[in-house]
Amino acid sequence: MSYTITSKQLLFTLISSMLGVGILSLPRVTAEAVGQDAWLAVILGGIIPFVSIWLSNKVVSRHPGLSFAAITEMLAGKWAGKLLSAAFVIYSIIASAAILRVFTEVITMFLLPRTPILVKIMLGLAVSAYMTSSGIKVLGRLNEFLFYVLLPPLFLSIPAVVKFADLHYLMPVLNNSLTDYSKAAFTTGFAYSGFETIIVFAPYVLKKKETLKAAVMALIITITIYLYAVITTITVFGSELTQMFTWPALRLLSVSEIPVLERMEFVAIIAWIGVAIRPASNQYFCAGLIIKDVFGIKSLSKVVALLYPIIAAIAWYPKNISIAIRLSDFVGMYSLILGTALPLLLLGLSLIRGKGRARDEKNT
Amino acid sequence: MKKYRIALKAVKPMSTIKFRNKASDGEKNADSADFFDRTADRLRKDLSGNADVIIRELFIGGNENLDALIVYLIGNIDKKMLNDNVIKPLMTCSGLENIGLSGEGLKEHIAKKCLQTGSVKYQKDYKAALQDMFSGEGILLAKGIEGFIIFAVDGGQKRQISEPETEKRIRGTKEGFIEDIWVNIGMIREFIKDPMLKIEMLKIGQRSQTDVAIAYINGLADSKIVDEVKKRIKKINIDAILSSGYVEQYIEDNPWSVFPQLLGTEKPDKAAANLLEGKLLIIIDRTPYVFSAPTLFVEFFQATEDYYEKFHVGIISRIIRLIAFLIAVLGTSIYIALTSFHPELIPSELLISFARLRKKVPFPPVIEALIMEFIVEVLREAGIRLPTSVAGTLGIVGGIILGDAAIRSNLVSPAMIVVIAITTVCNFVLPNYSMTLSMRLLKFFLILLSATFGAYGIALGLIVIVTHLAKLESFSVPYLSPYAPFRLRDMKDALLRLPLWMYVKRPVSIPHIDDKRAVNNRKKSGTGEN
Repeated sequence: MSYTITSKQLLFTLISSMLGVGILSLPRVTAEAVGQDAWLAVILGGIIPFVSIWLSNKVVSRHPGLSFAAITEMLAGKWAGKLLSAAFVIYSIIASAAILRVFTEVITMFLLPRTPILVKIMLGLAVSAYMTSSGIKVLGRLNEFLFYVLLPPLFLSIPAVVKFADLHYLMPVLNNSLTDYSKAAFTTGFAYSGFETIIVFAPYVLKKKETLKAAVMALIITITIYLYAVITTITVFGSELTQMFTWPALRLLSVSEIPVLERMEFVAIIAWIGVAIRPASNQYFCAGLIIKDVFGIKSLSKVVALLYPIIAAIAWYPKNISIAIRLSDFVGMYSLILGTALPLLLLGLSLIRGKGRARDEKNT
Repeated sequence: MKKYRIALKAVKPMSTIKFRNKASDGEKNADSADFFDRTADRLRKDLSGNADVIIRELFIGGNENLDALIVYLIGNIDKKMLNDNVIKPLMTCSGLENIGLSGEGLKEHIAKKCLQTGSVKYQKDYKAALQDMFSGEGILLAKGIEGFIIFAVDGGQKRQISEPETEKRIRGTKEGFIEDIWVNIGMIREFIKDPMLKIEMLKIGQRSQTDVAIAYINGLADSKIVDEVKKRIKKINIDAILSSGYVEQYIEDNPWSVFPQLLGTEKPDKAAANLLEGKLLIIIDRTPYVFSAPTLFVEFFQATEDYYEKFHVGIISRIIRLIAFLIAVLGTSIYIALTSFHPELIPSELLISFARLRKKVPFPPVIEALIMEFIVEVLREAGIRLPTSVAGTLGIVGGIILGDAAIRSNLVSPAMIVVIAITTVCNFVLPNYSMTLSMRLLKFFLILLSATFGAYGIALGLIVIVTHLAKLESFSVPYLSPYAPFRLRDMKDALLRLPLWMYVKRPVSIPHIDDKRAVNNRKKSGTGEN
């Protein structure tokens, strides 16, 4: 591992892996599940990623200096390790494709209704591939730089909130059953998907001690932004109306009027393109990096070029927007399972092997 | 007749030029008189055909046993100085009887009593001496001395120090660099009189033998970067360096990038400011441009007036420059995207007047834009070539008459003319000319993207540009810092320009050793001085 990232770059990389496309539909998804208590679902949804981050950091810090592919291979053996890596690669490819597809759907709805979907996917993916092939260092810088692009759209929503927000929409609190809340927590899966990339990025962090702190900070910042999006949307529209919109967070911006530009959400969409391309690139990068490590290929750009048609094809596959949304829900579930099961399995193996090794060392 | 051979393969350095040696084995034993005759013959043969080389024969101190030759380039020396301080004292030199007529004594005597020039050195090597002569110094060959005495009489015509055309200033020094490397170094030295300011000289170009100086402040500049710059400059293998651009293109990190990766300036105060930030300067003979390395993207937005005027003005002009940069790069493409893809974004009253104006124009906005951009580029290109008096007329004919005629004949809509005019003016707001050249390439890239994919194309194009910028490095320093990677301390002098007394430490983006820059004398000390 010749290159490293700072813990601050890890923080922004994790934020940008999670925060992107999911935020637009999050108010709808959570409102459908628990109505006005959607904000609670956002907080509950953050628990699984938190556990996953903690487990992943534990695994990575037990094996310093090893990449994800090397850790799995060492702990699970040559073939089983490769299988685990493959599970992650497949997830990353599908996640990248799903994010890209939803991203393209938003573009279709707001900016380019008549351009063929495939062209838009290929163009977006080409930019994503260019970002990915630049390597982890540049990706870290970009993740940080483009994070600030998100801030103007957030500010743009303030006038709407000030003018139309009604806190009564959040009442009554805690009106659903416990099972409803736990189900609702799982619906946030797609919005939080991306947290599991920590297991791939963490080995590259320069100061290992700061990894966990940075990752938890990333999660807290993401939860805060999600909470802001959900609470503002629901206080402006109410939970009933929120469920009617495909992307309620964007509709929020069209409520407020600013004299120069006729329609605010367009400005937000253009800024959002910069934000939403990051999770696709990060997932793309994870897939590329693991393949590169497993097969010992020197150049990342070759792997990136190889993955390009695969991701483009998967992103193109859903026939319409509802199938695309179902694909993204699948990614959300997959990420929760992968994000907890994989580090748990690796940690278990590591503990067993670690004890064995410690005993061996004592005996000799 | 023996001719000396210049190895004609272009890549052979000058030092390998072979001079045929007449009697190489017997040389050690031959006495000095023999050496004089032999070398004089050799000089005459080697230098025959060089009309500007003058070989002047004389007797030192009028002594007929002391033959001597002075060789110099007529165009590159100061004739008056040669006559008054070299030839006259040499010919009237006295006291030669006491020291004998050869050897160390004679050499000492000539150097210390006869030659009245600023620098005198002794050179035994024939080729090196000849090289010095071609660099504008005079060489003296005297009977009795086995070698050459080299004295500096360099002169010749130099351009007066004047205010550079491309970097005009209201405050600060009006001086600009000229072509002569030593004058330029002197100008920098006048700003920084620190003995730690080191100047290292290199020679590159086998035929041109161009002087390249690397200047840095020892104990401030990062030695790794100094070594890296030196290494890259030494690696240049070319027959001639005609301009600083040659060096730039050989040493920059990414030769495929459209962005300038070395900041060139014609101003000694700007060069000095760069030295003080821990950068180093690359000064090249025969070019009034001095480069500083490593270079950051933000530097192209910083002008010296920002620091010389009050900081409020500095902040405002920086923000204006950033907006102008964005308009120059994005203006035309946003107009195209709005009119041909997203008309719903334009407020309805404006949209109606746009539509009315565009009604008679037969072309799509892209074609309109490309026609107008082409005309502007042509006018600009022609304006550089033409003499100043004609260029003004061209501006009126091209700008006003042509623009008006284009609208009347419905080639382009008036709105497009406004957009093109604004973007063209905005293009020149940046203080660096190289960056304005790169900006127009970016503009065309984005115009094509917006013409095909509207705002989506622009957004993706911008991401590609930002990715490219984040990828660039200048001597292992990230080009986009302090933005990416984000460095809070340098934000004081990036988009903003905070008061000077707040810059107590040097920017972290540039690796340096001595961190302390100033003491903040405005900080309240707490001991109560009201």
